[in-house]
Amino acid sequence: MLINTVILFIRDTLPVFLLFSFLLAQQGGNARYLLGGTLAGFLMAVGLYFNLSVVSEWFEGGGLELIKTLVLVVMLSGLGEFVRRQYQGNTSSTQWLSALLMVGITFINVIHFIIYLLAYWSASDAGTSLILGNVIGVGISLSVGVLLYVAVAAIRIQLIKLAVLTVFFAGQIAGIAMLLEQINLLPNQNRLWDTSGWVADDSEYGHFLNVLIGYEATPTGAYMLIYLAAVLFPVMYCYLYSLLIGKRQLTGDLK
Amino acid sequence: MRLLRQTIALTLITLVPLHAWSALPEVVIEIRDHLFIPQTVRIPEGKKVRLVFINHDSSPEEIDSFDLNREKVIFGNSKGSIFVGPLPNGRYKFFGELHPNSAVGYVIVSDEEKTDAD
Repeated sequence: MLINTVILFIRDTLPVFLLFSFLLAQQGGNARYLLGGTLAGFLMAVGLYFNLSVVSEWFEGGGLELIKTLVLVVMLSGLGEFVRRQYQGNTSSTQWLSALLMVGITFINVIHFIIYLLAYWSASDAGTSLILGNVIGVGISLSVGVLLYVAVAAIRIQLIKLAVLTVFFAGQIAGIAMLLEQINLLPNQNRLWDTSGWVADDSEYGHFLNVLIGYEATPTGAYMLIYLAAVLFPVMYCYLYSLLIGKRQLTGDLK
Repeated sequence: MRLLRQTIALTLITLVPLHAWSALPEVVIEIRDHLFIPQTVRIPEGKKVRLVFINHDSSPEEIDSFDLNREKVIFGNSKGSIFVGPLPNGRYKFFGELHPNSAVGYVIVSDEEKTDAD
């Protein structure tokens, strides 16, 4: 149970630690907002846990998948606005957006660990293993988070920092394809390629790369399409924003 | 706010095809004492199949499969479904993430006429 707790803790919380690091490393990154977002996401996940048996029955058993999809889409919109404001140097107003992104990522990832934790807390021999597993898991996730924070914070060019954040996010967003295929809202497609001979999904590297950049050894067309769309979304968002809102502001000024 | 409204509307529109579920072949897998019964199921090649997991244990189980790219929580004394396929011939492993040592199963995809999907 100890090893399983460590593995599940890292799998379910590493995205939270990584996003925390990436956002903290951006211009104007504020740990207080990020911690607030993480706490709010955690509390929302606990609230969902106590209603999960009902929620998961919604839409013929696809309730949880649809909620996670909706949260990811909202997060993608938030990322577009975050990148736009960061790119324009308007960093002070991005703090609530970074908190929103932390709420989302904590909510959709931590719910799985809460299921494990609360379901096995009552087991007679589980207490010590669960506590020890969580402590080791926090240590590993924190170490990886600090290392990546140092690496990203050292980048001088703001655009590259935002690109790192966007690629990380694209990996999370691409999970929508699997969620919708699983509940039959997207047609299953053939796998585009198979790189499991190099890095298998169930290997340590596979797990880490999956969280870091959304690596999949056997991605489907839908997965890659959503991945690429998520990578390009902030660019398109900034372009459309400048095209539509910028023009409206200009017209207003002329009047 | 407008974007949020559009997102919700799009999500609701995509729910329309849900009624088509009942037409797909189905395989039932039970979970008892953290074991999958049957441990191995056969499904036809090139067809979408609904795997129904019925958890008879009081504790939850999280079905995970790297081969099938699936992950689903099945609560204690409840059931849940995962759609898989169309898949090429092969052997696809799935396991219970909360009991990875005991809860292990396989989906065998073959072109044989007789499978577990009905």
